[in-house]
Amino acid sequence: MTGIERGSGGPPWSVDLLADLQAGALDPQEAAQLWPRVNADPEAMEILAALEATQADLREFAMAPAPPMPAHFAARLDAAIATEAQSRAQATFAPRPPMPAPAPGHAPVIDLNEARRRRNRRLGWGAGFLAAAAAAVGIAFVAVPGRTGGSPSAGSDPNASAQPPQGGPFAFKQDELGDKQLDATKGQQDYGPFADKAKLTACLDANGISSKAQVLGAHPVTVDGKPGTLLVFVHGAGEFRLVAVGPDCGPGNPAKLADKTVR
Amino acid sequence: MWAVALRTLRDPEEAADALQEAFISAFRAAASFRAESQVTTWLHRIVVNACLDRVRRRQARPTVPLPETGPTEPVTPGDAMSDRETSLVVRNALAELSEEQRAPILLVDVEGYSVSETAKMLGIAEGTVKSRCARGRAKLAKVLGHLRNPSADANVPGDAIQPRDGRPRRHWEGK
Repeated sequence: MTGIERGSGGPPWSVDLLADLQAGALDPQEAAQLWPRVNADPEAMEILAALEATQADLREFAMAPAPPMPAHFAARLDAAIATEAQSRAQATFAPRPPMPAPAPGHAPVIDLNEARRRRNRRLGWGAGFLAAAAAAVGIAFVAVPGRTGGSPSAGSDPNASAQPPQGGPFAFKQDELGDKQLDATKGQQDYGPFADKAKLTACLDANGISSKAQVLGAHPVTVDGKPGTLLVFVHGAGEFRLVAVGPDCGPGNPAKLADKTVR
Repeated sequence: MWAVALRTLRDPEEAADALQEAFISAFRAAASFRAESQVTTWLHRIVVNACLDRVRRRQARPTVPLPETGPTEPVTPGDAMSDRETSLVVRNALAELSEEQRAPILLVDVEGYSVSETAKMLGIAEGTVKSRCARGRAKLAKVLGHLRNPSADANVPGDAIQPRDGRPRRHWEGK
């Protein structure tokens, strides 16, 4: 008897038998008969304690800090995800068949929430997932749909995007607003203070923009040094309207920082 | 997620490949995600499944021995010695198990999946999960030094994980 084969339910105890008992692998009737004898036997209890200590070690193993992912693997993963994100972004922004003409007397209504849901599925989700993936892996990458450039931002504050950026395409002068900002903002879902739908609607209303307008992207910006949020709208076939508004935009206060239509 | 892949596959190259497969697959399936579970839970499952797929593929191939000591752990500032020792000892102990015992042990005892979830993920009966976990724990209990039974210790190849001070490792110090 080595002590590890399945044996009869008594001393010397079989470790396998007790492990089966502990794991619930025994027939319920057999287990019911065995438990009182096990509970009454210090040697059996000691084996059970050893099995529990083993499980505790395994739980601890799960919580132990992992070695960092080697840089070359992280870079490879970055590249793969960036490629995937880019191909999705291109597919999303590829020319689509024109919308069916609205029925006479009816404006083409695109419900903002539905548009957002669709967009979230297509793009926002991608961006959100990428962020979650980066956080999960503990690596940094910058590729998000519709956004190129930038630099790796290991350890950057995940809330940093809530603040108007100090450089890149999101910090510009009023007359510089154009393609660069369009490309960088399309697909972004950072509404900043306008994440509140009521506030966004009130701001759009103050700027004479229908709340039904399809928002293609939103991102905090700095216009001539002033903080704001850039919103991108579809504006006719192949045209986009870029409107930057200040954080105080609301009823009766357009707080417009810049407004441009680009093709 | 890197840790999950690494402890499931043990080989950094394979872990990186599995992670990449999992992330691309998750990215493509993102639209099907339902907010019934947390993103991390959902992602964790995808990573584990990608790793299990690789384990299955590995089993189907001729045996390729993995490094005895597992992947090299670089020293990380602030990483306590006891943590590194714990990981190393448990990782080496898990390497003693057969693949069919290691997978359920990893899923149930390390990753925290229920027996029922584990059974579905591995495509085996719940009873099989329980018995494989039982066998795996029994072996680990010996390898980790929690069992004193001298006859059971006699044929356990656990020399590599003996504590440096030579004392029996019934319980890890400082825990």
